[in-house]
Amino acid sequence: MLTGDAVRWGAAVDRAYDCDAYTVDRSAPAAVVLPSTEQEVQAVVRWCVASRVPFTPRGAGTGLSGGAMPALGGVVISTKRLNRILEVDLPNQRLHAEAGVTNSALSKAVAHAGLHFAPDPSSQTVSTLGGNIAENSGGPHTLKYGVTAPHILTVRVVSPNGEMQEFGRRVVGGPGPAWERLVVGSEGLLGVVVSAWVHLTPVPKAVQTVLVALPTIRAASDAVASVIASGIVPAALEMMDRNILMALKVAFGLEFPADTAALLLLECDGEPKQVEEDFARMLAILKGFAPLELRVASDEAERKSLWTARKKGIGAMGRLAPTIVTHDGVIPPSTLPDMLEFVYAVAAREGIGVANLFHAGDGNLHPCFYFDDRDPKQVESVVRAGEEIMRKCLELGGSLTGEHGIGVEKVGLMHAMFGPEDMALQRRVKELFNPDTLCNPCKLIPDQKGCVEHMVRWRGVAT
Amino acid sequence: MLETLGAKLKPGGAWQAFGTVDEACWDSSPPQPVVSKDDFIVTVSAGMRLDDLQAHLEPFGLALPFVPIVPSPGRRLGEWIGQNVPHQLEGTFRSWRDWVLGGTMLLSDGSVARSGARVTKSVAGFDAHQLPIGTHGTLVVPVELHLRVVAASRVAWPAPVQHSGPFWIQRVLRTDFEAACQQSGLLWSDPETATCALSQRPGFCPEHSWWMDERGVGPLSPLQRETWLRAKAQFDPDGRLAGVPE
Ligand SMILES: Cc1cc2nc3c(=O)[nH]c(=O)nc-3n(C[C@H](O)[C@H](O)[C@H](O)COP(=O)(O)OP(=O)(O)OC[C@H]3O[C@@H](n4cnc5c(N)ncnc54)[C@H](O)[C@@H]3O)c2cc1C
Repeated sequence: MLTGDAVRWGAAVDRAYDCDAYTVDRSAPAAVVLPSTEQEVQAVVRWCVASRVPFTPRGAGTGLSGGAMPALGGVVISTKRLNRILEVDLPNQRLHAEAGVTNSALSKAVAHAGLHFAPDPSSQTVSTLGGNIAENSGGPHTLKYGVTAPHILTVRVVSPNGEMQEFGRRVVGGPGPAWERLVVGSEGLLGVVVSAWVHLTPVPKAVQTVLVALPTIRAASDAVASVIASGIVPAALEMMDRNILMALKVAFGLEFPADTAALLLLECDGEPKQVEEDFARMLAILKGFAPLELRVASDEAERKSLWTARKKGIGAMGRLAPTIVTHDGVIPPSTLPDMLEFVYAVAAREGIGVANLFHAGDGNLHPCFYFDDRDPKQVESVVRAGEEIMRKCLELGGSLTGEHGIGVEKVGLMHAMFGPEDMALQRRVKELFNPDTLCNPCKLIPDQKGCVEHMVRWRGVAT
Repeated sequence: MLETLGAKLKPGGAWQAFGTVDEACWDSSPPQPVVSKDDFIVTVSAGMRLDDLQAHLEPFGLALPFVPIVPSPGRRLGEWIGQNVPHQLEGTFRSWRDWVLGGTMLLSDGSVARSGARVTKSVAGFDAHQLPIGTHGTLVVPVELHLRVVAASRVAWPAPVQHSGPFWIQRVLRTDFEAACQQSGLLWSDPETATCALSQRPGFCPEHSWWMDERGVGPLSPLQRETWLRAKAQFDPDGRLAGVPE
């Protein structure tokens, strides 16, 4: 099977692979394998099944809900070496790539032909196609182009019992069920994706971008709700609050007008005439909210500079406190004004810092709590505040997660969103593809066999 | 509870899906849709007719951007979803797989389960609300749907194709589109999605292409079919719902 440096274990490996970017829960693997071919992936899965050893697929490990954490130990199957682009079919705007190829490498490979892979998670320079598929990732341009799912034509997977299967067609749609749509977003529970055919999107002919500084959070969130309600579909509509701006100033010296409570970054793209029309309407709406400043990009260089605040925001947060936890919840955009007030009130009550940098257009919140995780009281406050915010999202008719997934982080909250019959349906979907408990156990579905006592162990490691 | 959701149990205790005895399954006067105008979402009974939904959305300035290639008045949303046939605006607005954000489904054991959410973006749990799409009511019966809709002003409504009798829809790679359009019996074509509608079964079938008849029935890959049959055994072990089409 695999030998040499394709099989790793030991203390350094434990430290590198005992969590993903959600660092609150940790569990070390028995070993990490780095297969270079789909046959090697299949051989590893078959060995795990025959030996009754749990296995967990892993891409770049940038997941934010603990999905790639080997919850019950066992083998981590890294796709790092499955990094080939197998075929590019420009006339038909599609591309076949292995699961370990990074998101931005897909777009880079076809940029010369005026095409790109539209899903654009902020982690795109490192996160992998397999990880994007497993999490059904989104990004700033999801508002117009959708999450990962509509861009995936086929998925080739090693099933949880070790069979090689290819779901989907190389031409969009078709009669019968689309099993690939269940694999997308399945958080690595329905098999190891080894490659996929993806649909490529033309780079838009025209783009217009504006950065707007607003004096109050209420004005900014009302402006978001108004733009969305107008029927314009911006390519991106992102929001950053005062605390993010403070971090950007400290970290990178970026300056915004004094008294700015929130920045909005809006972009329209597509056919030039439609873009011009939509952008003009959008600016008119925004002007109605008495902006302190409204910067329109006059060229690509200026556009990039307007995006700097958005792209560097999370990195800058490190200047505010030793620890950051980014939450992910969704609300209907029309409820944004009330929801943001709620977020600030909860943080104030718990005595922790919160900054917001998020996909406002689709109501996908990312409250980032900054605190010191060496203080157990602050950790408790952060966990409590996060739960309260998630419950508020549900109360407003939203969802527990818009892009980070359930993983282990929110598995205990699934009951707050779904009732017993809903969860029974979820279990049936899992059992259709993964009737056993070996493939990525303890994620997404609560109360899985053997997971409850381990949950205590992970948390124990974390504190 | 089911009555208020717009579904009914067929006398004798068997659930039958649309396409066969749809009237037995859905209330003939389903509850009014719930429209969230500013969020572009409508919650609607799957038993509602497409035309009625469009009429309901109109005063809100909203529309479901779905225009069948050949009109089929009176068909219910649940039927359209079960058949999942391409439509004329798919190139611009996509289709059911992206519009059904969540909903409530009736399972063959009589339980009612929800999946997805009433927001445009949610990755909480498996997308079980994809199960009714394209599966002809064989696995679950959609009862209530959360649908993404658009501003009506953005929709350029194309003229319907006048045709009576059976027809076939075929999608090919862009590089095969011109050849596909050379087939006899061409009723309609769309270069954006490389799709054509024909009054006869396609004779030109390149490797990467598919076709279906006007009910959404067409050839499946062996794995797609085998998984469908396994799913059928899992979701409807007693065969109360419609059978998997041959
Ligand atoms: C700074 C930062 C910014 C981020 N921004 C965004 C954002 O804008 N939008 C967004 O959606 N997410 C974002 N994320 C979250 C994360 O990057 C995405 O979820 C991403 O898709 C994960 O990819 P990965 O390769 O790192 O996967 P991993 O973290 O390694 O794995 C994630 C999940 O996918 C499964 N998995 C991985 N590979 C496979 C495979 N080949 N087959 C089956 N299952 C597999 C794992 O088991 C796990 O459950 C961000 C994260 C960070 C740290």
